[in-house]
Amino acid sequence: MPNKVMEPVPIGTIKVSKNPDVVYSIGNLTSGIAITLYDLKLKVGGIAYILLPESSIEQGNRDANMLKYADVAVPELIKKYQENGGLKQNVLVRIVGGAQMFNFGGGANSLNTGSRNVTVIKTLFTKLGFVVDKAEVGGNKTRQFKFSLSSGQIQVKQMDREDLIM
Amino acid sequence: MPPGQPPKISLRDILAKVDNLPSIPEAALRLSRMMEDPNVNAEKLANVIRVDATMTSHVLRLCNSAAYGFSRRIQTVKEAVAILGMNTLRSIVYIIISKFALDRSVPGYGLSRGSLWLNAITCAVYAKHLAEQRRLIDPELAFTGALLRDIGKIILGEYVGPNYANIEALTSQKKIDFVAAEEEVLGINHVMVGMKVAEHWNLPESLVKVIRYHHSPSQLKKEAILDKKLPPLVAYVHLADAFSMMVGSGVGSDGMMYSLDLEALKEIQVVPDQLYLDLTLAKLIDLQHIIDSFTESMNNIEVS
Repeated sequence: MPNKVMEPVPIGTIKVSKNPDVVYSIGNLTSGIAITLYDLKLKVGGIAYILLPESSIEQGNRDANMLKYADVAVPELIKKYQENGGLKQNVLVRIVGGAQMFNFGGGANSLNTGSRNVTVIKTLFTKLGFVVDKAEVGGNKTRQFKFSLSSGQIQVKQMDREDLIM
Repeated sequence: MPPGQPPKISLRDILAKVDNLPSIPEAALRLSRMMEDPNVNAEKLANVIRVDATMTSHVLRLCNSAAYGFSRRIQTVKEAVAILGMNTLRSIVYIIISKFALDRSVPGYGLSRGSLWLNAITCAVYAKHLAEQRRLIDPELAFTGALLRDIGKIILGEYVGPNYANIEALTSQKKIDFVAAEEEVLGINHVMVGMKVAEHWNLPESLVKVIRYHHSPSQLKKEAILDKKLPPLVAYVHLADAFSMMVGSGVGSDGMMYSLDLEALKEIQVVPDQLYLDLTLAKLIDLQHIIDSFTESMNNIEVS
């Protein structure tokens, strides 16, 4: 990708840009979820990388990074997307990630952080009047993720699979 | 051998590869052995570090990293050994060993250079934090235990790569984890190989056991003679391993194809319900600055 600016996105981060050369990347996406907004006409793109569904568990830790929670990050991402000129009517919302471990131990599957993240994100978007257009979620494999702002294209790599283009 | 089946790997194949392993600074391995002697004193350790310029520089850089948070700069080895104490010094020696051992690409597991070491440091920081919650063992023991747990991958990767599709398919067909599927397909798995590497380097018995059982800590019961610290040590590393998978830090193509050993978690009084997992994961994520300071301290070290 000549002249592209690769920008790694750590957990608990929101990034938004209008620069078409920017490519947001996440090296190893497992239980966490990359949430992306993209304005198909104006080419404004934003991403949030969350790991946990709900911030209500945070017990007054002032130093905690609240953007690791879906319920904080989703409204914040929408706000920043709109501040950068992104319009709701042009938006494409996609989510990637949400893998989880096997549950061979039986009983209630408390290891389902990945799928709980997906549920909370979809519910939040619906509440805020947005629709999740595409989702590549679940399973138990690592995903390598790239989101190019020139086209809005998302590339997901997994071992022994053809690259998935969204 | 049935057609289409990959050849099983013999221990002899693995032992041949062990001789081609990355070279670890001799002083670091020597220190790791000396520190197993309960009568070793700080002065003897300082002498081994002091005569080796590379070790001196690594030890000073690490103990001055933000991860340890000392308010003033530590300038000499003597001072470092006195301030750090034996268990933290052990952690530092193993950080150096693990950097030399793991800082390489392992394409068979989809790991680019740096990933395996990043994963090791992440797991170590998490294991230490988890052990600090109840103090059933010294948290620094949990830290060192986590560092070399996946050393077997640097050799087995060569065999896992071409057989990845079979191994992965077997996990869902037979409902087994990735390490068990490796063994079914290849005749050996990365924890068995890791044990051989650890034995080759004469690493302490406790680390050999952590490597062997970190995916199945309740199987430790099979061992005839057991140090009381071992079950909680292996259980902490096992749990930290699960959290580092959830975070994705340096995780390879085996991804999350593992399961929690609930029986073993009783050993460390952990019931991994949803609230426990969420709260703990939230705290662990906020430790990222410690992981970053370790990687920054070591990132200009050239390993062969």
